[in-house]
Amino acid sequence: MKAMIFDAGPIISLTTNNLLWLLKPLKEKFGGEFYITEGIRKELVETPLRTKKFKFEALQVQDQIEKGVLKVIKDPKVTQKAKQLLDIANNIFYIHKRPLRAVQLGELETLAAAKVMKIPYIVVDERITRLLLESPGQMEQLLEKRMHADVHVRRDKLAKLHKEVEGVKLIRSLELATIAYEQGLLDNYIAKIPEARKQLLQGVLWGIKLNGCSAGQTEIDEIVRIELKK
Amino acid sequence: MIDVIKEDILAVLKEAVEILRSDEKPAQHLSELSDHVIHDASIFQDEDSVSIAVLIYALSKVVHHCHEEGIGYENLIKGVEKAYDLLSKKDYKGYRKTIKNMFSQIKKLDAKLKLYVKEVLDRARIKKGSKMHQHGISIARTAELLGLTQWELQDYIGKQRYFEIKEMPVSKRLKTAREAFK
Repeated sequence: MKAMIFDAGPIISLTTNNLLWLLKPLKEKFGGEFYITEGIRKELVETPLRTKKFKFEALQVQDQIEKGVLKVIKDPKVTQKAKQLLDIANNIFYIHKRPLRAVQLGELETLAAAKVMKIPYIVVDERITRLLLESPGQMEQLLEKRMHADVHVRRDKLAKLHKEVEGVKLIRSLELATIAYEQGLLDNYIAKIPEARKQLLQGVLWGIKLNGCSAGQTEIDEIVRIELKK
Repeated sequence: MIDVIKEDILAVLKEAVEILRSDEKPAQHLSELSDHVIHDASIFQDEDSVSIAVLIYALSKVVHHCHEEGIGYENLIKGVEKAYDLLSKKDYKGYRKTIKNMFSQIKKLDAKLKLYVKEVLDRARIKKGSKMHQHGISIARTAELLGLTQWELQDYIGKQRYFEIKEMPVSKRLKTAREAFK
């Protein structure tokens, strides 16, 4: 299935950078569907609609849903699978003989939907999710350093989680913005200033990073270097 | 409440009273003290650890404004002392009621301080939430525990620099994204 599923983080990063409009042309270039789960929709729309600060942003996301750019998955099978994955994921790392509940159901719904619907790409800005799936050793080190405690890892549970989401590839809003840049979708912002393309790429990537996409300065510098070398 | 949490909260309350009774930069010291229960809040994810971390941080802000405006905060000190007494007697119900009352007291200071106290309390939750995220708890889970939206938390956390973790090389992830858009 040619599709991509989004966690809440990347939609938040794009919205707070006034880049949510990019989803439509990106989806056209992608040639498949862009999904969010019902749990993520609630987090992106329903919850902030009850607040003052992010009400307008919530309306922008709702607009993308109403226009069909983002499709919402409501499937009891996904919720059921998410609960299973949550049980596994929150029983991997033990500190003081207690399982660390590092993630919540909404995040796992995204993974579950990818599994159930065979969606190959997940867009996720949350570093904890990425560490859990891609670099659990780094996660263990992070926990030991921050908690000042020994961390016991249930390798069987970790292997089970990895098996469940085998083949799923993770990208961030940072990479999506880079693709948008490569495809010329951001060309309207090329100003009449020295090194305009570099300034644009740096501006977009830093904006996304500072609005919540977990990435380091060296990663941004590396992307800029790769893109300008092309 | 399990013993380890009780002991840690008692230690924090005792120190909070000492700080509040002294004249030396109570705001700064209270702010630092609020981090002492973040380990517990991250590991146990119990309401008591989370609420005490938020309360002590909020107190640091309120006390700072009280100092500036010349407003006394004896009631707040008495509240902390009462919470300590009740908790040391294992009166958990009384302790939790006192903590709840303290949040109400802080809210009532709004008019006196000409300060948007709701902002202070929201900020306190966001600050402590960012600390929990730093301890390996996802933004979504932290938001859930602290009654925040992911929007609020992500807005703050994006501006922090506290992870020095080597992840998948950027070139590899970018290659994945390009493959997707081929």
